[in-house]
Amino acid sequence: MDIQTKKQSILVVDDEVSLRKALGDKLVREGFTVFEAKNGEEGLDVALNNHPDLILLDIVMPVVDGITMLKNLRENEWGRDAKVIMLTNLNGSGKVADAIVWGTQDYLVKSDWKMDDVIVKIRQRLKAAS
Amino acid sequence: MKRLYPETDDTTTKLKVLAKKKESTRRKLVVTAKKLALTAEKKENIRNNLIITARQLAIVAKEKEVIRKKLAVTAEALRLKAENIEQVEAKEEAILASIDDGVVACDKNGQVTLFNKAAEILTGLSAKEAIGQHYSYSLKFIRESDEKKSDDLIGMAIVQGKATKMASHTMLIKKNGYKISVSDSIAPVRNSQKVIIGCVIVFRDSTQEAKIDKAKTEFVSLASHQLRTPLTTVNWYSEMLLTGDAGPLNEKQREYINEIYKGSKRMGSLVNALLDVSRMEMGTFTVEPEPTDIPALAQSVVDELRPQIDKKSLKFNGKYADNLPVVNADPKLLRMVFQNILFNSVKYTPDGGNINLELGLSDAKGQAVKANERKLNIMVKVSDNGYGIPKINQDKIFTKFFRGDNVRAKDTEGTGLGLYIVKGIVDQSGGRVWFESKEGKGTTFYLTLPIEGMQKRVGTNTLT
Repeated sequence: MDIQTKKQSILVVDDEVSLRKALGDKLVREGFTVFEAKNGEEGLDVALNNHPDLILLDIVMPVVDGITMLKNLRENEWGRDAKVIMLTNLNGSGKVADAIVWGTQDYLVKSDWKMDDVIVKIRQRLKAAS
Repeated sequence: MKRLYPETDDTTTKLKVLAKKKESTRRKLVVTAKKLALTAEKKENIRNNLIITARQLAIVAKEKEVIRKKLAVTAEALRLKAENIEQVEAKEEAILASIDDGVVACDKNGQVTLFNKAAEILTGLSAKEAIGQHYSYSLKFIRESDEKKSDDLIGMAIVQGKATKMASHTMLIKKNGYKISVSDSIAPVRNSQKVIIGCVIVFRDSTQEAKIDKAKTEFVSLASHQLRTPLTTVNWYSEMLLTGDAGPLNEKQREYINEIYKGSKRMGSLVNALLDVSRMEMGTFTVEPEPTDIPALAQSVVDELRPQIDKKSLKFNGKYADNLPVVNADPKLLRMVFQNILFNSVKYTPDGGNINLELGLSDAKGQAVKANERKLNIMVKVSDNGYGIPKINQDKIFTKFFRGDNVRAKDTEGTGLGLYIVKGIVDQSGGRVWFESKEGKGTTFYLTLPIEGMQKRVGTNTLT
């Protein structure tokens, strides 16, 4: 019997095309399945339809921002326990507090984090979850 | 015998009677004269007494006149003083009425004794309603964050005699239930014997200022976000190129991409530093003190710098006093202070040089003290035998964007904001930072932190 190891999936929600692409390419190379969304409304839709193992969530986005998407996600039965890492360039204790209120695993400031370190953090969270 | 002269016996008798009468009269006259003499004497005495009395009365009258004149002067002075007091009171009332800030005075029991026009407008209560009541009736201050009652700083001012400013993001509930942002200060009032007899609260509507501050904070946050986004793109794509994700690079390609990456990282540091400076200057950064083991924190920063220390073969010595207490400090802010000062030492000491870090107890001026002495400070001393700071640059070393002439030639990468941020954090903590330096010989930085630690501050942001 062939045992196929299911690839873990990551949803990248970010309005910046270049960053979404950079993360997406990197994650695929690291062996993940990648879903993408360009705003919080699309992100919630993709999350609820595909149940990714972890969500990388930007905050400043048009249509629906990251904090609102997180709040809406937590109101869903599946979304309540979804793993979310905020990955944003906003640095402010107000936004951090909002994210913590709605339950986030981490709050990373993109410009301060190397991609490899982001991957390490993702693997830590997925390991902790399993 | 016949009398020869019978009329002579009659006459003699009459003469005798007359003589007797005369004698009697004479005697009476003598008595009367004596009486008259006595009376005259008495009169004379009375007259003399009257003269004395008259003189005394004259003296008394003079004295009275003097007293009357003095009273007149005093009465005039009192009248002038009363007039003056009236004028002063009228002036004070006019000043209080014209001040846009609310001014409320309380006695030592917290009963309101003064409530100016501005206080009436701000609270919606009349002076009549407020005066005589406890201050908590008219001054309902709450925290903006959770709308719960603020700390009773007014009560503390009366009891402890401490002048304070209420935390920013304080609101006042008006009589109609409407809430407004206020900023205020409270000071105890003492009499000439220095006994606290009450306090004065001065407060104003800071809604407009709060809106402007909020707008500034949001602008700075958004601006830094917008600056960081393209930097992140440059960083991540450079990293992916350097790690070979797009295929192998030749040496030149690697070198050039490295320069791009370093430039981008430097830009990122500058954005973070500018953000910190902006938050410090707006006073919006949070201070969250917690019990902090300062030697452990300092050592963790040294450990972070170990790769650079080893790369330059620097000799690092740490000397931490045993009796250092745990201090209430914001570890994030303190870490920034250590990072900046130690990183500068590492950066500006040539290969093979020495860096010493000492932690001990001192007074506010950095003089060593015993553990049981009052007014203790934690003292940090970082010394190196590096490039030093030219004398001509020393007075500017804590200013924004300033870097010494001698190091700019050797290293172009610094932001010039590190020491400005260090000073801002240390000043805010009630400490001091200063240095001694000689160009070509090295630099020693000193900083002191009061043992009471940092004061908590609610802000809208943390420093990066």
